[in-house]
Amino acid sequence: MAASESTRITLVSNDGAEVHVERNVAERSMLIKNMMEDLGEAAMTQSVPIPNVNESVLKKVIEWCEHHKNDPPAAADDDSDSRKKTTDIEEWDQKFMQVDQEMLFEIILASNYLDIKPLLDVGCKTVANMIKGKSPEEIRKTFNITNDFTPEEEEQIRRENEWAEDR
Amino acid sequence: MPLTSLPVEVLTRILEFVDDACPLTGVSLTCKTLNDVAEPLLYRSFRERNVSSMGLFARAIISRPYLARYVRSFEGTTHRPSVRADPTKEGINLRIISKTYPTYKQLEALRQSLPNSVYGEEFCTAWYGNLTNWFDNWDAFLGFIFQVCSRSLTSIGFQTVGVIKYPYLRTVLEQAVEEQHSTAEEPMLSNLRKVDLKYDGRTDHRDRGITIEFVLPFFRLKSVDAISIEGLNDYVTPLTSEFSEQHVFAIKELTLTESRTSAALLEKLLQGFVSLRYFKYQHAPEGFPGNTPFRPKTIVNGLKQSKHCLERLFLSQKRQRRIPYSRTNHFDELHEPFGSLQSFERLRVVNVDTCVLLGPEHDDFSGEELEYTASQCMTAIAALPATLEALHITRCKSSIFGFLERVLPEESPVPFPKLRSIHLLSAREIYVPGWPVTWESWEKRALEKGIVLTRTVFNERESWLR
Repeated sequence: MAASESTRITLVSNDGAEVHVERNVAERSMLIKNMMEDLGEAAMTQSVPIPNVNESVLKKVIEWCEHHKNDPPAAADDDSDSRKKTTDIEEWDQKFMQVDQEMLFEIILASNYLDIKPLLDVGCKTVANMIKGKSPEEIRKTFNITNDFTPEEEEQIRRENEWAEDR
Repeated sequence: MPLTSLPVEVLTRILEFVDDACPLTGVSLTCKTLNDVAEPLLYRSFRERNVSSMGLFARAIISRPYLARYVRSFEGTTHRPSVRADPTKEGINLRIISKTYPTYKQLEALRQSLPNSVYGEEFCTAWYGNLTNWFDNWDAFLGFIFQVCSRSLTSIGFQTVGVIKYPYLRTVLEQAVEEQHSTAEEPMLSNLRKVDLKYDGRTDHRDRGITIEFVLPFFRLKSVDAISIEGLNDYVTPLTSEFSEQHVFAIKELTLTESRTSAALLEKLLQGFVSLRYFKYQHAPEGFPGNTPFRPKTIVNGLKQSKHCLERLFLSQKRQRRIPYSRTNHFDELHEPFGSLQSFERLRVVNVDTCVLLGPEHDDFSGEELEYTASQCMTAIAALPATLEALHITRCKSSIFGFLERVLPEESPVPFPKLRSIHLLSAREIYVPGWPVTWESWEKRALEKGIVLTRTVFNERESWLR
């Protein structure tokens, strides 16, 4: 429907900012898509509150949806075990994810809340790539994590998981 | 906002991506939050990595028994010693690992995980003894792991050098079979779907390989729907009529590769299966010491109980590398075509060696190229089912074009109304006879009839390795 593709809707972030966006771009979010279907015509005139996402993150997420608005829908068996878990990320998405950790986690949280699986995966892969191949100490340093194990606990876990080393 | 404040389902998603690339052992050691997320993923699948990993894995489960419920897939071996008699190497004997480990309490829990009420006290005590006093007792360990992970396991794979004695593993499997066939509420191994058994050892001896006796309990598990066996070799086990009477309803996919079982035994075995949708059979290479001849017709005959459901059939013989050319022809002559597949109501995909489809090439001694007679071609066409959608022909030579000529007749319709693809596989580039006819003109001819014709120079080794 050509008419609905150009229809713009208004989203309101949790800090009160109005963000105007094409409906088909916003509908990359399954949450918004379902909401639109429930609201029907009313969605065109009302603004849609997004209570868990602030303006800067919402704009960032919409920037991603804009670029990916013509992507084919994700496969239905997305959550199955057979899903190939490659951590390859396409170039545009890699650049898109070159943000500070705070923003990266905010994007992940927002895509999880808004139910945008492909964006959630790009975010998760980005974090996974930051973890891959690092020692525990390096991971802690990268993400500013405090080691809350006692030396004994740490030693026990190390010994018990030893079978999984040298893959 | 720290990483660890992300919700558990998001952290799990992240670590699943990491898991695909490297072990999660490093992540586990960073902090408690990440360890809690990584642990179920780490224990979800076990794959044997070195001589001591099975012992170390068992030790972890003994130390924290709740880990057992995470274990879904298990991939191990039985052939090599799981530990050397060297106390500096961590091993499968659970008592010599260190002075303080495992604790008395853990050993007690280990003993209790072998239930007297199910297997009897004497048996369990001996089993426990094998786990704690002996080296290299893979049977006791496999039995133990299958026992304690019996609610969670969904797939099992292991390599074995053929098995002589395996009292513990067998007892656990038989118990699972019994529970699955009774009204037990949550029978053992009730989530096990996939079994993959590989023979791994010297294959040059007649009595080596996986025996039917060893695989029978797996066939009887109601939960299992796909079994793959590499190196089935049996000429001793008398297959009792009891087997074919107790029909195998559950298994829908059966793969037998490098099989050396005699056709008569195989026929009897296959007759027990009544729900096969997928059957892939690859006979051991020709000229194999002690090999039994490949008899496609007998095998197809064995499949008659699955006539109403079989959708995909693969019949081929593994290629022997560097076999003298003159002998190849000799062996080809031994092949009989597969007989008729007409009565298979749902057979859509047929993947066969040329000689299985057409029999030996005809040599008119004129020094011309070998070819198939018209009657061979017509017999093969009549043997294939009307439901055929895809035909894959392996080990093609240029003689195959005589057959194609009749499958894609220029003046009349294709004998198979649903046929959409024909794929030719050959060990080397095949010559297209009848210049100026080219491969491209064959492709065009097929396409005009709505069929996609393709070819591949086939590397058998890669193709059969998954």
